[in-house]
Amino acid sequence: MHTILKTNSSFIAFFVYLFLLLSCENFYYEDISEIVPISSNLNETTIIVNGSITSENKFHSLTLTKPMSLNSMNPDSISGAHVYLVIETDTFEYQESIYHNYGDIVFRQHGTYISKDSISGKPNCLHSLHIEYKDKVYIASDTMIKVKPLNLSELKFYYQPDLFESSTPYFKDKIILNILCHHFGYKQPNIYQIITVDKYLNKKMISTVYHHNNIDPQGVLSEWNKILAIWTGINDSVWIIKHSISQPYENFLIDVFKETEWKTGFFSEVSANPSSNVTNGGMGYFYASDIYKKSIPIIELKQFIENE
Amino acid sequence: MKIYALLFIINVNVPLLFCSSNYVISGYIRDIETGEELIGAYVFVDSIKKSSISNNYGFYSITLPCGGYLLKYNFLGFEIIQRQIDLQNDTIIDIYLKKMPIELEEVHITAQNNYSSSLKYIQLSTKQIKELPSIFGEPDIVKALQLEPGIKNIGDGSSGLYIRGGNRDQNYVLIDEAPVYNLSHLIGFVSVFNPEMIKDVKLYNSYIPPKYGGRVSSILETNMKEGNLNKHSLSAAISTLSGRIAIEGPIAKNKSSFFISARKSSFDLFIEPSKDDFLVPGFYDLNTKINFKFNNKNRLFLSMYHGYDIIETYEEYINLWGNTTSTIRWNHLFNQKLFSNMSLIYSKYYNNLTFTNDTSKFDWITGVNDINFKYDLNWYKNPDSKFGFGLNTIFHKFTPGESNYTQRNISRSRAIENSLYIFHNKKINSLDINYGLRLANFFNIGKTTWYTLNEQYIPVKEHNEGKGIWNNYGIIEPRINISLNIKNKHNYYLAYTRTSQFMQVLSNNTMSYTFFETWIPASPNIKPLISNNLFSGYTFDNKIFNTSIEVYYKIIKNQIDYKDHATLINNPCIESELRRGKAYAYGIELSLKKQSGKTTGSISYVFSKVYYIIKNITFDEKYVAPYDIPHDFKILIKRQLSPKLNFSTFWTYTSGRPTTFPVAHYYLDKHEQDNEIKNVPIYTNRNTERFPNYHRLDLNLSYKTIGDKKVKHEIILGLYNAYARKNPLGYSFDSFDYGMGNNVLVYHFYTIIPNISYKIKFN
Repeated sequence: MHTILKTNSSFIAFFVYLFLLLSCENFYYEDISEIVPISSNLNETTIIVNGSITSENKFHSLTLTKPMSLNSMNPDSISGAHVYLVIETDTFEYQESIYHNYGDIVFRQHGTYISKDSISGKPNCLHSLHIEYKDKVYIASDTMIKVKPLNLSELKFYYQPDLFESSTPYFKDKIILNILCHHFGYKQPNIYQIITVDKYLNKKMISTVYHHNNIDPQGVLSEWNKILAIWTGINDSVWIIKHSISQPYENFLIDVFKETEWKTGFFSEVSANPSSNVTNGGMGYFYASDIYKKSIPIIELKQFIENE
Repeated sequence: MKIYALLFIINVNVPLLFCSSNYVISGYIRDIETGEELIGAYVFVDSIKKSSISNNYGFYSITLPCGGYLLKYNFLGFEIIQRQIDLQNDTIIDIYLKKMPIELEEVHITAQNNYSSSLKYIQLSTKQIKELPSIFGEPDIVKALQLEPGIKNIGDGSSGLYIRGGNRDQNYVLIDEAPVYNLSHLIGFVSVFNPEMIKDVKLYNSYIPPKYGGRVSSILETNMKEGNLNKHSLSAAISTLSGRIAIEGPIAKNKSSFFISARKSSFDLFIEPSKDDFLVPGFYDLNTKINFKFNNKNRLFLSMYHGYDIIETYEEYINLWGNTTSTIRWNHLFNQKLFSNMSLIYSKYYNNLTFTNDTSKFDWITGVNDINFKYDLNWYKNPDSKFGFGLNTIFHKFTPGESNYTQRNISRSRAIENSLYIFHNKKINSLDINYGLRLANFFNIGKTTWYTLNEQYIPVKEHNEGKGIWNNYGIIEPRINISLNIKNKHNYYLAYTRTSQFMQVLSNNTMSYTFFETWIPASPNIKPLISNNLFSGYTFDNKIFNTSIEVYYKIIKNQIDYKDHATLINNPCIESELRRGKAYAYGIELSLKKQSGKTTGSISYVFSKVYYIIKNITFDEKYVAPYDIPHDFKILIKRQLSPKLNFSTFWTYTSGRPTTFPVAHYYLDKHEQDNEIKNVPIYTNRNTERFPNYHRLDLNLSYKTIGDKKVKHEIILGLYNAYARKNPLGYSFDSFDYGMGNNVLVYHFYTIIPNISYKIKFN
């Protein structure tokens, strides 16, 4: 009996010691996340389509690339594809260009295809992009939705009072207009581009705002759902371009947001590839968009916001 | 000695030669200390090898020819009582069993195999649950069940039960017959069951008797304590996680009693959400039960459960959810052979999510309300034959998800679920046959909106229903269990069950608790789940060791899964986001248990597979279920160090659960002239990758005072995940920097969690 008690006492003492020792470590502040490596299993046979057709008459472009391994930052372009666009009964050829116009920057990049002629899409028509590459035909189709004229109240701008006063030329006569990047619950999805020119930096600034026709909790909760701050001179004007988008393209965009900046821990869904409109296992999207453009003086816009 | 034996045999058997009439012995088997009825207690008549078992209300009935018998009454952890009777007419014997002194209590059975009724189920008592390692020092039924072979979870802190290829929504969880729709407190770290209030737990995961239905995988039946009929007592306990208190006692001695128990989490009492403590969870629950014994033939029980959870952040976010149940039960004894129970049950589940930012407020609510009427009759024809009949009608009211952001919510709907059942348990020598039939039907009724879908799952027609029945399903569920018991040691069984389920959970991911999960009813687009299950097994039990091998195969029809990036919120036609197919599950379960002695425990290994065949989800249509865990190895060891001191340890090693990982990426210039490039991951097919294998060691030491003392103490010290294994809870690709290597952010639960709990009880 004595031996049993002695053994038990030692055991209890050891257990209690272990317990107290571990309790002293404040596990509450333990880091519960870490970076770990995962394997990359690249399927190079897939093509990525990235492009659009709008109702603007111009040379339209798109890019064709291959998927990148997880380590890579440079996509392999697809060269030598036969690309053409079919709108109703009309066919428009694209040709490969080594120059890619990206915003204001022009740089050499293979895999860029530009329409041979200046072309424009047709509202309410199906636009089908055909890509013939390595014995396969990929088709990406999208319907161009007729855009409705811009109504300023669609855009929920709000005026930011002066945050601070500064006598530096850059801040002089500047105001800040705020707007949320994503708006939810609209009848028709649209994309708005708000273009200002920073005269001091001599740079065109583009802010993109999305109107979604459904609510996505990941989007609403995302930190990227915060405010876009548009800095502009009080005497300047702003260009607002409204783009119509089809419901499938809206779905694709939502998928992309869910897989990128809306990817939050609490609400993230089972991961999956965005729903591409490219057939034959292709990825990316080719979309058609009707455009409405309007230039508005900032003074007028500011007055409108204050009256709202 | 031989003369005495001869006299005994003559005494027992000679009257049988002259008696042709049968008489009934019936009554209740109770705990002498509390007066509460004991569920699943046995009465044996060794001389003629007959037995009976007390039902959920402690009632037993056994019919024997007139004569002299030695009756033995037995229940797990209680002393055996013997009664010598001379049966000459119908007799009522109420038996009071006394708890075994702890010094003598060497039998600790983790999961009881009940051969008297020949049905295999897992039974746990509060005492057993408290002896097992737990998380945060909070003894928990669900965590205890997860230690059993074949019952799986999908990560630390999960309150989900994945049983024999079934999803977590395919288990019918009952508190005093009332369904509980969300088992989780604290996002699944604790279950809704307060350990103080539980009297008895039974899990039917093989043969599901025809009395039960509504879910395809298992029935988890829990009964709340009724309260001490003899004396008042008060107990209080505090653990790392919560504080709890329980009061019980007689209202009128030996006629009525009450039981009240409350539990409250401790985190939220001391920590306010702040920038440092971003997410603060809290919960409470309350259990009450009152029972009235009007006479020997009539008894009334009133019980209620209410649970509430909150998770809030510093600024934006509040999530509230909870279950409320209440049950009124009336036991009536028509005669010594015919026992009835009538129940009226109410159950409510809600989940409310609110978040606000500078410009908007999002409010989302989902829930289920049930009113349920049940009537059950048990006819104890003779010791070899028992019949049961019953009916059940449930009125469901579904709120599948509504938010203030849109008028296009999923339409509320109502339904009536009816069932009728009959069963017969027949013993023929060593062969026990349980067979029966359950008829289930489901009516969608009342005002709602639903859509006809085309082959591409696009809504093509809107239906606005008014009054009356607008859709129905009827399902016949035959069930049979054949069991052969040889010399009370070898038991072979073969069972077939057909089960159905008319409601399913939709949630946005595979965690045990998710912020967006909603119950939706069967409808023209969502067919009811129908499962055909085949089980077979062999068990050897010699009182010291119990070893078993079991195999199962099941096919579940109308299994649903989501298409990629399904829109589950604010989508009035949520059914268009779902795809339907079949789930297949099979497995083999091996276990060895040591049931007596100072060292007890079990070791088990399970191999199982569960996969879906559903069109339009993956290219080849066949993929593993998100809860497919092929290998599952568990060891549990319990050691009684002294009458007051117990030590237990548990180690588990399982396959990692399936998941979907990125394997490549591409850049997307989202919009023409947009300066921002999206870095889009490319994933493999659904569930083709796996988490790392899961393993964990838990240690537990409990001390309690023994004897008839006025004040009793109980202290539990524990270590959860003693060697600090970082088992992943989930992966996040939001900070995934594709240009910097193949890296991903992995979240895991806290590593070593020391825990302590203390309980004091005043008698």
